Amino acid sequence: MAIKMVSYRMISIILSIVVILGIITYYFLFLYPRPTEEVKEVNIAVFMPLSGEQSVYGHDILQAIQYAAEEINSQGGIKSLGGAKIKLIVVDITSDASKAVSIVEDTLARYKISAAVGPGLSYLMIAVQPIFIKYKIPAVTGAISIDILKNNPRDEPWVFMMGPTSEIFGGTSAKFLDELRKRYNLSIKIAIVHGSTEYEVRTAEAAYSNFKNLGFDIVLKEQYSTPLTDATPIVQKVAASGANFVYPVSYLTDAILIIKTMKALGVKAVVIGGGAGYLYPSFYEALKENVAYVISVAQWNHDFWPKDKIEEYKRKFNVLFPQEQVGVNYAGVYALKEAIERAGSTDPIKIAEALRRLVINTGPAGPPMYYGVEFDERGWNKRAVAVMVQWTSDGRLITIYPFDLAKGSFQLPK
Amino acid sequence: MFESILIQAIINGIAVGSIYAIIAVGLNIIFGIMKIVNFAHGEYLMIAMYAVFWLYYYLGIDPLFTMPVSLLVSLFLGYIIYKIVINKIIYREDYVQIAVTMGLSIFLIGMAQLLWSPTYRGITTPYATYSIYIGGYYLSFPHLIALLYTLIISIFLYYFLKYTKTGIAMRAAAQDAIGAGLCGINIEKIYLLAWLFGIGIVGASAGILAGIYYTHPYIGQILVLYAFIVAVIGGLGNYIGGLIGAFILGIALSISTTYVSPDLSLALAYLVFIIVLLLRPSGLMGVRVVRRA
Repeated sequence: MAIKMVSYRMISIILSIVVILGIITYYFLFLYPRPTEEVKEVNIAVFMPLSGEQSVYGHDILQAIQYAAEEINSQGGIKSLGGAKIKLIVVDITSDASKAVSIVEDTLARYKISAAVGPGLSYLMIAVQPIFIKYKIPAVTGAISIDILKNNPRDEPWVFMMGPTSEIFGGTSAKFLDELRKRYNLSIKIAIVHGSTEYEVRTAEAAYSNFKNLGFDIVLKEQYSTPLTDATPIVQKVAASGANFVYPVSYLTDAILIIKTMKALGVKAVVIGGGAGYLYPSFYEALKENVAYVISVAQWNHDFWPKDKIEEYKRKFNVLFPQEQVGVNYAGVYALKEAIERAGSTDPIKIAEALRRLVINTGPAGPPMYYGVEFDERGWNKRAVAVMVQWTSDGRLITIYPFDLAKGSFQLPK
Repeated sequence: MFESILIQAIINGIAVGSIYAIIAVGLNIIFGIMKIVNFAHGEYLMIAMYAVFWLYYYLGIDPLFTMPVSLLVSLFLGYIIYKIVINKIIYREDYVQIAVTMGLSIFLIGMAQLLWSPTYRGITTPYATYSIYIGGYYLSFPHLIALLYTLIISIFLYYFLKYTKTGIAMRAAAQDAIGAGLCGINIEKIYLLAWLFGIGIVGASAGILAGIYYTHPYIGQILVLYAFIVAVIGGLGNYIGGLIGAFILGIALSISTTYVSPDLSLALAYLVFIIVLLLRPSGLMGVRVVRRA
């Protein structure tokens, strides 16, 4: 009996000690206030194709992001985080979507990333979007495919599109062509040719349905495999269709090939590009005066910026002018900056919540430099519109439509 | 525009076919004499195109004037690879030759990616958009140069192989290497010469092709795919057959992609390939080989 009483007592003492130790451990593990570390840097990952056939885009967009980050840091950084600087973690995701996925996943798993700038090419962005959602990292992008918005969880987007959608691209192109038709009393036969990537297909489809709704005569709609090695077959088809207007939707290398081949084969259809390749300084550098009168739809044009800012950018990066994605991604970095300011944290979840509530009406992401920022429940910046731009023979790219944003007037080819 | 879309498509087909012929001629010489199917053939062109591009990029030299350099680069590379690799597989089984030349192709593409990245490099010349316009039809200037090069090489090869001592020795080696050796022909030298001929023809064309196509690590693979089809259609080992096959394929592709779809280009190429081989298994001008038990 004495042994039994000792055992019960021992057990009680031991149990009490264990419980007390457990409470103390829990307190120090989870409840004890930790000293806050001073935030010196905010890691923003930049995922761009810096090699492969899309590397021209990747390098151009990277310059814009670096430009914006340097500006922000020189102006005092993130003030709500005690002046923490933006640190860009630049990652080459190549031009291959399957490689991009593993590269992005590896980066997000390895680094403490607060937010990201995603690739401005729709096929790459769509490929890597699930990774951002999986790791709950907010990303801004200049890509335009409507599928990016559809892939976001409703009311809780993680990828935020800064510019107009492919649907708006198609709609603006059709409205502009309608204006031309009325003003010049033109009989228009359109050939739509496009590559096989996400952006090219979506933009061409949107253009097709908008042209059809406005009663245009679409004489050809043809897809080719991206990238082109030889544009002769596609240009022959355009010539065979009898089109006097051609709406090609292509990235840069294909755009150059198509225009070169059109000139070589004497195909004189008016070119209204579906954005991308038809907007780059490299397009003019490859074709020179052959770009004259080429029109294209665009997310943004450099003539929105003040002249001194354009000149500063041109000098700094030795470019003909800041191209479309520069303006979109420059505004995107400032949108991220504002969201981090309002979140007052490097926590990506808090930054995402701030982006969802963000409204910008002034400053580098607001008019007149950009359209302003306000994301809808799908993650689309509903302030963004599309514009039409036209090349001159000396390499200037001028905004010609909508008329309230135009910096010059449309020139009909001679 | 054009007087007749069909005739313009035929003209374009001849122009594009001439490019396939340039590559197929070299393939045929190598196979015809050495009996080696060189799966890395396009990569010598690719390396030569890079040489042309860097000369244009750093020194501003027009690609058409870089022919001597691209020829030397391809010959140098071809010589090194012959001495280290090809020499050792000439008398080996077919599957060994295929494996080695395919491996060489992958190796050269990988090295190009590592050294120069997969970025597409374009050359813009003042005459890139020029064309000649005759009788209502266009032929682009770069394609005209390619066509002229093909014709000059073909005429040169015809006379060389038919009337020169070395050419006759090469034909003898192609027919019967052992017999040719017994007649006093130095077969090892002939093989080396045939190899360098095949590589040199495609390497010298790099300046023309770099003005038409983008230079990137996979360009050789893309072009040699069609060249193989052309070489087999014409009769592997017969360079005149290859020439005819190239024009047939070029015209067939041009007409079909104009009236059907450009996306069907490769599929149609293989369809023509299958049809020709079903009707003439040894190719249009190939020699029928009868194996007796």
